[in-house]
Amino acid sequence: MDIEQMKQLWNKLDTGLDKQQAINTELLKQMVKDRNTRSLSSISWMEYLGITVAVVVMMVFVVMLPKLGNTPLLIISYIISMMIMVITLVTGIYKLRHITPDDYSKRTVVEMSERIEKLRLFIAKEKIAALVSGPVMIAAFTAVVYKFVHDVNIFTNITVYLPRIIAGTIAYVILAALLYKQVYFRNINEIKSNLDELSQLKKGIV
Amino acid sequence: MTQEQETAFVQMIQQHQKLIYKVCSIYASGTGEKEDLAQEIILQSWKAYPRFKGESGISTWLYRISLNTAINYIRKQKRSPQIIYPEELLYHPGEPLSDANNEEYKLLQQMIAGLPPLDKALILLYLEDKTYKEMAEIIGISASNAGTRLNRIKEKLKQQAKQLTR
Repeated sequence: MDIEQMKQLWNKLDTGLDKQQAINTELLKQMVKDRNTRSLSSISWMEYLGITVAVVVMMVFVVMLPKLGNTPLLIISYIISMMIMVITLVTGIYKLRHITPDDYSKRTVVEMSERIEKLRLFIAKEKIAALVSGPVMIAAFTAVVYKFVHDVNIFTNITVYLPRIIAGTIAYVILAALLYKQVYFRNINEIKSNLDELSQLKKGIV
Repeated sequence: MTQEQETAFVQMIQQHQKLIYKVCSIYASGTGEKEDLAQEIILQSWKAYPRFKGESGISTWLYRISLNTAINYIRKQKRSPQIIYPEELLYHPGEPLSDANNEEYKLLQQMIAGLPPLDKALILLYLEDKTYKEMAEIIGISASNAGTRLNRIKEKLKQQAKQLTR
């Protein structure tokens, strides 16, 4: 089949489609109404959730600050936990404002594809960063929460809490390694090759 | 959206349902997936419609939305569950082609399915008799790039057709 035959066949399909019934107006309106209510993409929901949780946790941590005391390790844990919340907040806002696809008519297909690929790349890298820094985050967060909720400094009785933290960290590292392999090799390589293709297409290198 | 805009939107979708059907048939497989993609395209058009000022032709505008939605749709790793309607939104003509043509059409679909998303968009616009200028406006590359790229795709399809019909 050559390209001209393809075109002729396509035109025949086009004629066949002329016999289509008109879209059911009521069904169309109902669909738009139903779908609109759940239209916010799963990515946007995750971002809103992440931002809300980060803001709430930061507020609680600020209010609870007087209970923290002067132990250096606890202060470091507190700073790390706050930094994690700030990063969650900033990256969430960045994704929502800058790279989450918006009005599909505003951008050309190449621009939109580039945006989608950039978002995917950002999310993949973010996942890896979260996985790699996970053990430190878990330890810091656990220390602060124990102090605020139970008024216990886990560092003064580290023999009791350390095995728990180590067990959690080992489980996390195994999971992280598996996920890292999947996220990095499956996604990032593919996304990078898509971005290369887009860049070549724009430059006219075909 | 005002009542007037709503009526105009419904009419516009009815007039261009072939366009939506064709984009769905190229980017999605299976009736359920095509239906889901068609719904997504209509929803994205609905959202963008109040801002449509007619700077470009309506079909260029709708192609842009449809192709962007389709490419985003296939890139999504997790999809939200579909709502099943008692009847399909888009009327799918059972066999719009004769048996012989139907076989050829399957071959055509098979060939197009093997192309990357942006090449699919270009070949669709080519089959739809769009000029290089129109393709450039929708895709976002220069008209000369579109022409060169299209020649490369045609060559690729020719090779594929040889392999598939061997």
